[in-house]
Order: sequence, then C-alpha cells, then structure tokens
Amino acid sequence: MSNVPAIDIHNLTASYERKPVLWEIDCQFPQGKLIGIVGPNGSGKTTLLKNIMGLMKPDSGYVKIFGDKLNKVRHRVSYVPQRESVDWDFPADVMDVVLMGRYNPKKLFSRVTQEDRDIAIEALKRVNMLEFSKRHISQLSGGQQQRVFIARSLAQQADLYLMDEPFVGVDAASEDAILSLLTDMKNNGKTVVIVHHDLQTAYEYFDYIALLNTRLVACGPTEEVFTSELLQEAYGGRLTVLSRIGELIAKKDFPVREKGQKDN
Amino acid sequence: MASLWTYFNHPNFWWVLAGTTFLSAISALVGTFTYLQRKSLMGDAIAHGILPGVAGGFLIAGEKNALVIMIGAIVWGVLTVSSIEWISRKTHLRSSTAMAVVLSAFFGLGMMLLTVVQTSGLPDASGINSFLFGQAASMLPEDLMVYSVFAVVVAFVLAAVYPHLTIISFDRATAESNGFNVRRVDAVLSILVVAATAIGIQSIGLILMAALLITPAAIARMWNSRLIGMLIFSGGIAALAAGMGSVISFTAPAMPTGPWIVLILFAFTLISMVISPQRGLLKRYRQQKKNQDIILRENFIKRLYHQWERSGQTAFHLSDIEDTPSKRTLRYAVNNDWIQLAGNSIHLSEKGMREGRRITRAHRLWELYLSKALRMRDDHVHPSAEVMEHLIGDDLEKELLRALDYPLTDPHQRDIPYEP
Repeated sequence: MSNVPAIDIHNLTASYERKPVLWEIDCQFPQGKLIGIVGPNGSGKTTLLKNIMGLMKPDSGYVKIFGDKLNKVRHRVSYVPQRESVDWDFPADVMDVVLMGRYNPKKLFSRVTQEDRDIAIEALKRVNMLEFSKRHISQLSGGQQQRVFIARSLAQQADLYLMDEPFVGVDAASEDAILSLLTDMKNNGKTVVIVHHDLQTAYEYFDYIALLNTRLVACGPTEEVFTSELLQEAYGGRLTVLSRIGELIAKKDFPVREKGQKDN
Repeated sequence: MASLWTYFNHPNFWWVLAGTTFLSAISALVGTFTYLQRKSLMGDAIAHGILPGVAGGFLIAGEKNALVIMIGAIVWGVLTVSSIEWISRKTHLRSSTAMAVVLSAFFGLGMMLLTVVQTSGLPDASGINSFLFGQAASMLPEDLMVYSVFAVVVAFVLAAVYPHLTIISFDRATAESNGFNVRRVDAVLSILVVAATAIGIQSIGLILMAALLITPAAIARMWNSRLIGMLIFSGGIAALAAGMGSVISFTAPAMPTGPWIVLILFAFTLISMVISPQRGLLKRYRQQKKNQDIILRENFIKRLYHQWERSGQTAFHLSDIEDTPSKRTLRYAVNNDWIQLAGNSIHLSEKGMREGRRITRAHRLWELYLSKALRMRDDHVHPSAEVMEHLIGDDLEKELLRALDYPLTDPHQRDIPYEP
C-alpha cells in the first residue's frame, strides 16, 4: 500500500441549490482505515460524499482519489447511498440487486456471466444474506436491505468504499454483521469512508474522523479529534456569518470563485 | 361464425394482426422502463407533442406515406422532449408543468396543421384522422413493414442498454457513481419512447398511445416481482389487447381501434386489481377473513382458559360461555383437540389449555411491556393487548420475555402463566 492518501480533498466549496453548504474543505484520508465523516444534521456530510463521488460539481476546489482524478480510478471506488434514496418496491430480488454491482457501464449487450454470479454469491455470504437471495427486496427488514446494498458494493471489488449512513434504521443483528464486515475489509487493506451522525458510536467505530459542520472542524485520528472543544465547536451550532453569506450567494446568484481563478 | 371467417380470409387480416401485436409488445417494453422511472406522464406528453410531426410529414410527402410520417413524428418527438427538458432546466417550473405547457402547445399546433391537411385536397387527406385514434384495419402491409423496421430497431437498442436502464431505474446515484452516463441513457430512453409512440400511431392512434406504454407495465407489476418477468408479461398483455383490438377493428371498421385497445387494457387492469396474487383485493379479503377466524377462535379458547383460572374446572356448559362461539370456531377447536364436545358440554383438553395459556401470556406480557417501555397508564394498556395477543408469535414472545426479564405478574397484578 502506498502512502498516497485514499482521498485528497482540496479547498472544496459546494452548494446545494446555489447555497453553499460546504466551505473550503481541505483534508486527506489515509488508506486502509475506517474513516468517519461525522457531524450534526445538515452539516453537509452527504454533500461532501456526493462531491467525492462526482455526483455533484463543486463550486471550487477538487478531489483526488488515490492521487488521481476520479474518472481514472472509478473502478477502484464503490458508493453505497442512503437506504431511503431508492424505491424498495422495485421489481427485483436480492440477487438481482447484488448483480447490479457487476454491470459494466462501458459495455453494450452485456449479460450476467457465471463469474458475476459467483462473485455476487460470495458477497452475499460475507453479509450473511445468502439464504435470502431469492427474496423480493421489499420483504426485507431495514438492516437486511442495508446489507444487500453493501453486498452489491462488495461485488464491485473496489479498494475504496463510501457509505452514506449505513447504520441508520438498522437492527442489532445487522449492525453487528456490518461492523464485523467493515473491520474485515480494513484488515484486507480496503479503505472505508462512512457518513455517520451519531457521536456516541463514532468513537468506537472509526480510526480516523473528519468532523464537519458546513466547515471542517477537525480531521485526523479519532483520539485527536475527539476533544471536548472540537466536539463543542462542531455540535454547538452553525456559524451565523457563514449561513448569512450563503443565503446572499443563493439570492444574488453570485459565484464562489471569480472568473478564471484556479485552485492550486 | 361465418362472418368471422370472412375476416380471417381478408388479405390484410393476418398482416394487421401480426403487425399490431408485435408493435404493441415493443411499445409496452419501452413503457415498462418509463413506468419504473415514474415518467408515465412523459409518454402522454410525447404522444400529444408529436402531432405536428405527423401532420407535417403528411404535408411534406403529399400523401399518406408511412415512412415520411414516421420520420416527422420522431423528429418532432425529440423536439418535444428537448423543449420540456430545456424549459424545466432554465426555469423554476416543475417538469410536470413544463410537460403540460409543451404538450398542449404542440398539440394545438398539430390540430392546426391537421386542419390544413384536411382542407388541402391531398389524396387520403380524410384518412389522417386515423392517426388520432388508430385504425388498425386500414393499415397496408407496406405501412406495417415501415413500423416494424422501426420496432426492430427499438428492440435492438433496448437489448443493448438493458442493464443500463435497469440500474438507473432502480438507483440513479449508484449508477452514476459506478460510471454510467446517466444523462446519455436518459436521452436514449427518451428517443426510445418517441419511437415506441410513433410506431403505434396508425394502429392505436396518438391520443391513446400513452395508455399502451403505461397500462401493460402497471398490470405486469401486479403479477410479477422481478423485472424480467414484468417485461415478458407486459409485452404479452399488450400484444393480446392489441390483437383483440384489431380483430374488432375488422369487424366494426367504423370504430377506431385505439379506444377498444385501451378499454380492453383497462378491463385487464380491473381484473388484475381483484385477483392478482400479490396485491389483489381478493387476496387481501382472504387474508382479513383468515385474521378474523384466528381472532375468534383464539378469543374462544382464551375465555375457556380464563374460566379455568377462576374456577379450576375444565368442564363447561356451552351456555356458560360469554359470546357463544360460532359453529366454525367450535369445529376448529374440536378438530385441533383443543376441546372435546359432547352435546352442549365442553371439556377443555391439555392442548387447549396450552393454547389458552399462550394467548393469555402474550396478552399480559404486552400489557406489561406497554406499561414499562412506553410508560402507558395501567388502565390504558388492555385494548392494544386484545389485538396483539393474536399477533405475538414465539419469536416476539421470547424477545418480550427477555426484555422484561421473565416477569411474574402483569400491570393488573394477574399472574403471567408459564408452561409448567
């Protein structure tokens, strides 16, 4: 494993409906760790994840993954969205969903091969869901649905995994299954980044934490970040100046960077 | 029957039948994806929006030329989609509003062009009305060939991007982050919808084409829980409805085909709503009936158990029991060895005792749980427990016992009965 950071976020400012919700985020996530993006509701955690995944265009700054542009290393990255972001009434059983992790975006007329199936079965085994492979996805509990999502992600055989709130609405059995899997992945040299809102468990789960509240409060090993001042700063309310100027930018349709100005 | 035979012998009959079933099946396949992406309204917007293309195609060709009309429809259809897209991107209007604006404007324009055609004195000009509501019987083999070639292309493209459409329909964000070009696939689907609409203009007609895109998919969803089954089913049901529609079109040529096909599809929808295995009304009715039976017989055995708790007697007279049980309940209890029945006297068996004890235990555990975990007042917990006692199975009972740490009495100081 090289020393290149898994994710390098450089001066990133991002807006949601033109209102900046992330200000000048600048931090690096090391490889081979369990990393938490932690902060209160509305602190921009999901927005940060979407910017890392290229699902949103930042107003300024950039993100590098394994030292490269996302498009060059996309096959090494896997994303697990929030469970509520999809319609679980979609006509598919568990196996169908996991196999979606094997779909090739660059190929036409592609069909699922036996190798894809074997990989999907392996992924389902790792989340303890193989016995449910023929079950319709709407008939699963919240925790089981989350495990199916993670299995689909595992089937992509990536090196970096980004998960949005995988512990929300999850039963105790699923939480245990997911946690032990995450540790397992870390021990295999994978990097896992998790958006998480619960401070209590964050300390136990993660090696490394980015503490967020529209700006980056701290970013580093868990013991260094979990100090009472920093937590107070992250959870003690938003900076009113930032939210006032954000509203102004939205209202006047103002840019965040002047024309032609580059981030370097 | 003799009259029907004359239609079968009509030179165009088999052509039209084969053609319309094929075209409709392909349209329904495309429609399944718009249904899954909740873009049902898009089909309607396109179907109305392409009318200027149809009328314009007629004017350019100077006759009813299927190929030119088809190309006109597709060009204008793409224009419809891009206008909707452009308006909703550049303004704050919702896309449903943008659709309504564009579809009515283009349909209005189309109606004006249609009047121009009708008063033009061009050959076949009066036949252009068949594009509005469909006239399957009037289709010539040459027309069908044109439509079918387009349909084959649609099927081909659909097969090429099947995985792309599937993953984007289910989970856009993941598809995009996995490297799928979501915008391009969206554009492909829009063009497919345009083409799928255009191939049906003569058999079903523009106005009702949206129904053929969406209704088969909606019916198929009621019978299938996997995409592949849904596609086969929706294609099949669309072909069946279109086939029936074209037979009717031959027997009653004065009647347009589209309305028939739509009404046949609607009948299929109603039937499916009642009898479909997953969400049919019949299934729900049966389930409710079953629940009612369970509640009645469990209440019966629970009462016997309570009487035994009070008196220590296992023999009862039927008239001593409050809420006289129905024959059906009694028969179930006897057949399952809960009780022995001789005339009007009942003997509570060991098995019946166990059942009554189980229900009573569930009831009292739930009362205690409400009182402790939800901090409900003790005199408020009974009504909920009356229902939950029938729902709490072995798993939940174990969990309750663990959560309450094997309690001995309920909030009303009654014993919680365990198996001896």
